[in-house]
Amino acid sequence: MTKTIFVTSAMRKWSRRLFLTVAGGLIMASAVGLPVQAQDAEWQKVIEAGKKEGTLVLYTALVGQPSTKAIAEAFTEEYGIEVEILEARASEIRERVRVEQAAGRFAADVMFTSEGQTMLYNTQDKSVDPLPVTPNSGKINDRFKLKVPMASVMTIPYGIMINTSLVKPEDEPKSWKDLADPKWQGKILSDDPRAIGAGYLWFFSTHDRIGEDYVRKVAEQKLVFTRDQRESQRRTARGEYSIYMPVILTDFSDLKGLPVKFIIPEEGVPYVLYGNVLLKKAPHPNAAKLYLDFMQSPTVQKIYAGLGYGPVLDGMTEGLPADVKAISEAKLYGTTDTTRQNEMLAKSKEIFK
Amino acid sequence: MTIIHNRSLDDIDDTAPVLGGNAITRAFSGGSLMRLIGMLVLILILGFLTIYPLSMLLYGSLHSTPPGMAGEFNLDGYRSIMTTQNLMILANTVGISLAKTIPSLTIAVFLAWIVARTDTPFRGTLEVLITLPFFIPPILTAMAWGMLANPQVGVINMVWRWLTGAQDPLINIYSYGGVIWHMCQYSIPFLFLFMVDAFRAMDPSLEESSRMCGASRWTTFRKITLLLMLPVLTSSFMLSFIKGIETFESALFFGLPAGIKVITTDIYESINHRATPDYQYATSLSFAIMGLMFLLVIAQWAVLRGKSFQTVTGKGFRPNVMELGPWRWVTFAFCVLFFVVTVVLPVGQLLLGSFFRFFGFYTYDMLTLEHYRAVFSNSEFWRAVRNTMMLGLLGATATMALGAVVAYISIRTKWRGRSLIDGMAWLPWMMPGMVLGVGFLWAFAMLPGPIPIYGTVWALLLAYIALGTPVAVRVMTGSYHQLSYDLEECSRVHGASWFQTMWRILVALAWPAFAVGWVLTFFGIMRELSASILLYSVGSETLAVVLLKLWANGNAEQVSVIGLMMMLLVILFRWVQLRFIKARISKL
Amino acid sequence: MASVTLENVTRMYGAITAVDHVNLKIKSGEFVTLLGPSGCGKTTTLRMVAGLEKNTGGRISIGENVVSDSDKGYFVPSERRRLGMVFQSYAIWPHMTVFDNVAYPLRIRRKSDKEIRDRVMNALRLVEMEQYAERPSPALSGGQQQRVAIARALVFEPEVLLLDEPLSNLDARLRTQMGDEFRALQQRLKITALYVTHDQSEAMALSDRVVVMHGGKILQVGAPEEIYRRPESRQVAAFFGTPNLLNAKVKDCRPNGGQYYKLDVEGQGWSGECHAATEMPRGTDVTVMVRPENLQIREAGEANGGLSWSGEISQAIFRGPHRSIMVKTPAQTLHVETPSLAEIGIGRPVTVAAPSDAAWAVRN
Repeated sequence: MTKTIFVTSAMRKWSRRLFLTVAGGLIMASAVGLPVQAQDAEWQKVIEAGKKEGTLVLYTALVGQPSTKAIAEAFTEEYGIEVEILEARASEIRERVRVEQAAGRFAADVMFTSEGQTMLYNTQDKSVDPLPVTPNSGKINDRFKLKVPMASVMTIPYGIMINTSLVKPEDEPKSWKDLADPKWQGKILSDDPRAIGAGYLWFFSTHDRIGEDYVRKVAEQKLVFTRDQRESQRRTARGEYSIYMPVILTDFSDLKGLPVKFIIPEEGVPYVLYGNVLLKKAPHPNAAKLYLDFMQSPTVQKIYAGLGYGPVLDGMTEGLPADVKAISEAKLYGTTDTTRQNEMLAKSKEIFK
Repeated sequence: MTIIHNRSLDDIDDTAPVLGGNAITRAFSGGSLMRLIGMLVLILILGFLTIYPLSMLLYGSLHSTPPGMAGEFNLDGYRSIMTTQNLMILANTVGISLAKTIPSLTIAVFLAWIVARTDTPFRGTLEVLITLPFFIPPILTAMAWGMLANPQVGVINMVWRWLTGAQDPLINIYSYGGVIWHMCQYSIPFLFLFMVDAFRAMDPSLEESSRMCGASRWTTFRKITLLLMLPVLTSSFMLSFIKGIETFESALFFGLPAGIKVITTDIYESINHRATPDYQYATSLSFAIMGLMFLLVIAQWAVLRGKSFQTVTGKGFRPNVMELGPWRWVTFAFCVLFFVVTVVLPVGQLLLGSFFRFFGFYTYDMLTLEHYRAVFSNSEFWRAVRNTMMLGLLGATATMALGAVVAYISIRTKWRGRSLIDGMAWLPWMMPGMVLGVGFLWAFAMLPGPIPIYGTVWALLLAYIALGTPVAVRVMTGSYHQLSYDLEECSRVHGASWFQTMWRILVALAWPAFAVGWVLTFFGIMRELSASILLYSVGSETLAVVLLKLWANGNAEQVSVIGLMMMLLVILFRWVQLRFIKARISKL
Repeated sequence: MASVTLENVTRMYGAITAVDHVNLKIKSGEFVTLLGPSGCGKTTTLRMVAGLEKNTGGRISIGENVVSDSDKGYFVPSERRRLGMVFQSYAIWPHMTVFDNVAYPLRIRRKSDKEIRDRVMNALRLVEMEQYAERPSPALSGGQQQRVAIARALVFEPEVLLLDEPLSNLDARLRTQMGDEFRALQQRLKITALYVTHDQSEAMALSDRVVVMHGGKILQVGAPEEIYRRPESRQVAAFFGTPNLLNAKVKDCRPNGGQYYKLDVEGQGWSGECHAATEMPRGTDVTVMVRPENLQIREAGEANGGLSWSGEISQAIFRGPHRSIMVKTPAQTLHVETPSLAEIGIGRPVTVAAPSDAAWAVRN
């Protein structure tokens, strides 16, 4: 039990930054405090037990990602443990887990989801177990060691996309602030900031970092709203709009050959942090621990970095092509805070009528 | 049963009139016990499929937290939906639904009449072709229409500008009109399929006698044809209107950019866009809508009560079609136009796009078969096809069997409780799919542990049967309304049991409707996502789930490939179905 | 073939009594017709025998077996009563060929293919439809459909054959022809048949016995001739044709040596002899029925026994085979049918006469 971090209710009240420092310190302390030998032996037992369990049931809220399957295969290769994957959208998979647990059907081991969702799992549904300490869990960048029980894996970076046949190179927006320029009036297709998703993420982070005035200015640009990220990228590429924002920057490779350009704004990229949580009464707890650890290992971290996602382990972007590297290393700008969700959604609805 | 009885008849002591058998067979012979048991079983099945998930939802609407969490009973949900904003949204939703249902019904009636009652050339082929749009996943047609009719670079608008030199676009799909048009594209073929066999099965002498009485073609059509079709027409109207209230995709895709809000988007937001999904609000709103919808059902019962709509009598008839003379080319042109606008335009885009790397970028260097290769080599896709086919075949057959029995009892018997089961079979249609999906999840997951439904394919199958039953019952009801009682009684008198009569006479006569219902249900199952995503388990992915994954990952072209293959399957099914019907009832 | 027995059979629809304590025994091989105006309960009675409706009172037996006993709650459903039935609409199933329609009762009973083939073709031959076997059934004329319906009803040699106004959908000529064919077939095969019609001539031509029903009750049962000539009530008398019904008082009553009684009756301005089924005391009010075809027109004042009325001809209608003549008498206008050859002058004074055995008196 000494290997587990307990998040006390007192801790929750602390500011996040302060907490991260303390928690990071605790992990360090526990890692240093134990003899390396003993730790290895303990972990060896987990590996043995995990292999005996033979299967891992993974729920993921990130639907349709080919990388999920590739990583699962790599995991099977490494440990000989089969991975069963169930995908559904965030609210759907959350309700499934909640109901399953309420009915005493503990089917899933690990959930791959976002930081914000994890918090809801943890505080509202109480469907999550505390995080185990694994060999890799201490090695990740401190910034991604969270107070919520999620083993961070990667960040999805959001930026701006332009249609190069409609926007001259000298006119290209360089930053989020540029979007407030009146020349873009009626030319911006935007993910709907009034609903959870990319648009809301943009609204949340720029509202906090640049200010409400900026957001209100953008709101006057007669944005056209949409809720389908991929289809909107295509629509912009076909010339319906000059700009689409915020775009998932890692999609750039899928659209190669189209007249579009993905721009990393000067301020940085709003992001969503994804990671794994250990679900309560997981039927394969040891395999789950192995998987959590594996996702933070260089093997997986390099896979994600290679796709443009931001890794949580430093030094993973070496040798990547320049365009991928730029996105993967893009400066993280801000993310959402679930505790303020209802408040901020209401505000967004008020601003973007 | 017949054989056993015949023996008992012969074996009976022949001295004096005697009562055969013991107390139990006597009771059975009266049919009342059997009927009672049958009715109970039916009520149990329907109750489990409809009332049970709905009661879980009702619990959700009356309880501060969803099932399985501590909380308290209150009316907050119902209180919170009583806002002027919601009233506006409701009015908007009803308006949109009416605006799509009325023209859809009109066009569908016209098309059904053309195909079934006139000598329009190639009507057999047209019958298959004009129903195709219904079977394309809505997301694909939405995308295709987005490409065709967006105000900036939509193909139609580009052509318009090129032709006229105008600056302004001709049409903008991102508008009320666009939402309604996209909905029509599904409701017209649906209604057409729903009605065409009723038109076909009508004895022309009923129309002819009206003509003889001096009524014009048009008066005959209004006063005789349409009135005789009243059960089918009212059912169609209600199915379509209620579905219109619950449609989500069109409003989300085309309505959102234009600021159009409907009830379902509101429900969707209350589940997906609050820190804690507000199931209490979502379910309360759904039940409020459901209450309103049920008034419609009661209205239909009132309209149809005590009238006879038997157009298929035991006297047989020659299926005279109306000879339109040169006008038949006009009706033909109308069908072709409909086909071009609703099928060729959007499907053409999908077909064309599937051979290029990206939709809308039709240059030589973008040509590729990669999407086909990707789909055909995707093992998950094939597994989903197997699962979906199995679920579709089983589910559609079971649904139609259940629908046939329920419709029979509610239309052709006077049994007590027949209105109850008829009403129960309506319920799933009135609950928006995304909410009902949650209802199934709650219902199946909360069953006692030893009942192995949740997490198995049975959960999907049961949900599909429940979802399909309303259409199945409506289709069969419309068909039964038309059959004269003699046909059935004659079979009973000549030695067929209730079940034999059901199968050999009623189902056989209602076969065209049964087949259409089957196809509708089958493809309903193929498309169903809301419940599937909440109930599928590892390994039991359905096609809709795979489509969602591909779509979410930006593989719109692969989704199109699958959509096109589904369409091929439809053509195959319809062809077989129409041929099979021809083989059996070519004489009709 | 089997007999059919109805004992106190009653059918209530809520408070309305459609069939009221009907008692009837149909002998094996007998052809019995239920006759009456629409709404008299005849079809309901037939349907209760068929098991398509449940009797709310009484007992129905076919052959030696009770098929429905409402007191004991016993009810054998239609399909186990081994009946054949021809419906008014024929109920030819439009999705089957002629052969399939006729084969249906045999297929239901899981007969072998060969047996089905033989018996269906036999049945079709019986109704002279064998060359139509493979025809789709909707493509038949009314008469052909009717034959198919009969073939289907006979194919498995039912205990009893039920017919619900089977001829009513045919034109007049075909109706007579089909009726005759049908009667011949019934007599050849010795089938017990229960036939429902509202057509009196059809009933008389076909039946061994006719059951006249009215208001859910049986008025009279008897051979056609007996019912026609010797009705038991004014109602039955009035049902057949357009008889002259005259009010009269009994003056004298005596046995005529046979099973009937001879009456002397006196009406308004006329008197004479007639017959009655029962002995009636002097002074009894009776209705005397004389059928138009039994009346003769004579020169005024000429009379010889029986009954006679004097009056004058008020109207004459030529009807082809005969002429309908209205004679105005002090009692009432009499309807007379004469051969159409005779010359009639309107306004001519005449005597209308009838033999005493053509006049039948029933108690009022």
